[in-house]
Amino acid sequence: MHAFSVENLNCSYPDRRAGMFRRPSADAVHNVLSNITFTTEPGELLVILGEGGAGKSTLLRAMAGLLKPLSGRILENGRDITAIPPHLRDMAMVFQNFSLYPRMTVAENLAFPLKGGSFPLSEIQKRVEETAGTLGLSEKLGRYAPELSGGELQRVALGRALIRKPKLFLLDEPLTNLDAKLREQMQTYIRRLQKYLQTTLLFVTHDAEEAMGMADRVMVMRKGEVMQIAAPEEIYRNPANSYVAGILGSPVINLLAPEEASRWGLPDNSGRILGVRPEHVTVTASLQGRARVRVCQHLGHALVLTVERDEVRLRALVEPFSGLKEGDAVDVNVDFRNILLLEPR
Amino acid sequence: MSGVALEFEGLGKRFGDFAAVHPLNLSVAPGELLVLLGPSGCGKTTTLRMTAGLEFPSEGRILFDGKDVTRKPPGERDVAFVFQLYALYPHMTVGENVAFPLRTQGRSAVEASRAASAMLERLGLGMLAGSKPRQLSGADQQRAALARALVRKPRAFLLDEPLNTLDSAQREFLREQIRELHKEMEATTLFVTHDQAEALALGDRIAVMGEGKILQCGPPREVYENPNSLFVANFLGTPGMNFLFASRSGEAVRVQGADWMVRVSDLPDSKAGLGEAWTNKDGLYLGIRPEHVLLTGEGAPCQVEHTEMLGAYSLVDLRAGKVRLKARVPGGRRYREGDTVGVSFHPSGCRWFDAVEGNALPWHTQEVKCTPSR
Repeated sequence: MHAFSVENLNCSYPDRRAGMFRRPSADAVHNVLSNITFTTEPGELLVILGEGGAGKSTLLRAMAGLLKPLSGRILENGRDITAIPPHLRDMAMVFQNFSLYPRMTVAENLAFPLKGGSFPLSEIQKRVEETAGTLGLSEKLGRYAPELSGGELQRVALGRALIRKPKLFLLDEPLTNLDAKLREQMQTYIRRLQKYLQTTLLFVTHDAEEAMGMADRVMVMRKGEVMQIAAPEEIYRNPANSYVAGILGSPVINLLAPEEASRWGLPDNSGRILGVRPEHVTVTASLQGRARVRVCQHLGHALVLTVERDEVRLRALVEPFSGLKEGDAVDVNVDFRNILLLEPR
Repeated sequence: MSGVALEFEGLGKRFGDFAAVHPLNLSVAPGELLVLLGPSGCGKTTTLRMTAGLEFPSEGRILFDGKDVTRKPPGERDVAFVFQLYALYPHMTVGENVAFPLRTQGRSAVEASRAASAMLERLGLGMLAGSKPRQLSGADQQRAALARALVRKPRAFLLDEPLNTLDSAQREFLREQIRELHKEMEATTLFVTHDQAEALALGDRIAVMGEGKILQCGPPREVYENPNSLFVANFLGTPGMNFLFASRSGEAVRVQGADWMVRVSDLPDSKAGLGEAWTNKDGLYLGIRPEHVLLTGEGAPCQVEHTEMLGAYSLVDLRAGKVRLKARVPGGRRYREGDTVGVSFHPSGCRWFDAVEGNALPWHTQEVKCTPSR
């Protein structure tokens, strides 16, 4: 297994206004990645999470060698590979839209990347069977692409990308175009295949739930910087700042400025933001209650209440059978032990 | 202001030989928010367009407060329609866009712009009144479109997947705002979506549609907890309900592929009326939502395949033989991959379905015991 590290990586795209024949001047350069440093652990599934413009795809392209960094190094087991061209890096990259050869069967599509290499036929056959097995495609090996369902097509495309067993997989939002049910299924397949092959995988997404569900570790990026890199549970419990706290978790965390917090009788802590997860807010019906339920939303397995007191609002996650509805007078309690103190971002 | 009472009587629409909407009956109370939920092609948007007058029904009637409007043109129905794509006038400012419907109603410029800015303020867009639509983010454009629909206080709102193009964080935020505005304005609203989470969160009631028919209609909690068919059960909830294919074996149910027995205390007797569905059919499904799968020391042994840590709760992927299950557990608990856990089901969460017909069987389960069959 291989370990990859990125050291002080800086990337930029020339400013479009610089024009074709003018060299971009230093200040006309738009910095996309600034001082990115991290190390992958062998065989881990690392999810890179961020909004549009965070630099996630740029980072992936730099790792694949499709983009030359301004400065910094990329290391493979300690060896500098920054200058090595993409085809010699032995990485596989999967993009948002992928397609299959329509005139080939599933087995032929899967075997295609291995053809022309130094693989003996028996090895090719073995890998095709293994890959098809993990992706639940064993019974479809003889089918042609147009005879497959959308989900099966996606699985074949994924298998074809991964069958080579490269040193590193790079997946750039591969599930964005799929509907919710199919996405859930594909997440499971990707993770199962990755754990089976034990190849390190970098997975880019803007969907926090997808990130938390799949990842061994999550790296949160914003505006070209790494905000935090840790296991999902750790990031959820101890977010590095208010931005990270806000991006992870649904329903969204309650973030209270000091003056709002004091109106609710919560500790006011020297300019920092108070973060309260909705599951740590309890709401009880009470005729004398000073708070009101403003919005009541069903999740199926739970209820999200937006409650208001003294013009400050909190979201609470409560049991579905609580029977509370809009307009009800309630008492609200915040679990003090679980309040997060966050640096504003 | 109170909304109109909407009623569909045998409302249907055919395109040639194809029945897009089979004749359906539905009434929406004044001030109610009813969500039409279903996969694409189920007829939900066609139903909405017929209500607006953009499509003429092939049969049946549409009544507003008891008056037949089936043949009335859209302009005389006094409804507001919000599309998936914002459809703002690009050459007007946001303020002018919102004031526009009032101007066409003949209100004075001053009055219209006053009402428009009040509405924009209400939706948190006050600062953007002077901007052109293209300068706004997608979420703000959609909010401006909502403001334009709301400002003239129509008798009914018809919304066609208005949150579709937004990302999940913005969707969550706007969902809350729409629900709150609805409670404030009490206008009768039809909301079309294919997103079950949106339907549960927004609706006073949900009508689940499939292949041009209303399959079930009820409050979110009822549709989620007591689905009347496999289709509805499968459509609501993420992750979806677990379905275990099972067959009767003496006084218990044998789960296929896992060597489990599920003992159900009040298994219907084959002599009783209910039992007929039971004895005549090849098999049935036991449906159980992830939050009703209990991980205990006892019960049927399952292997943990993966734990998805989602914050307030975790989802645990379980496997026993060929059967795969998902369980929803509180966030603090940890299960390692490869561990063996005992699985049982919360009796009140067990739902039974006829495997052939797909309809729900009205059996109540008092007690469940999962045991290995060997």
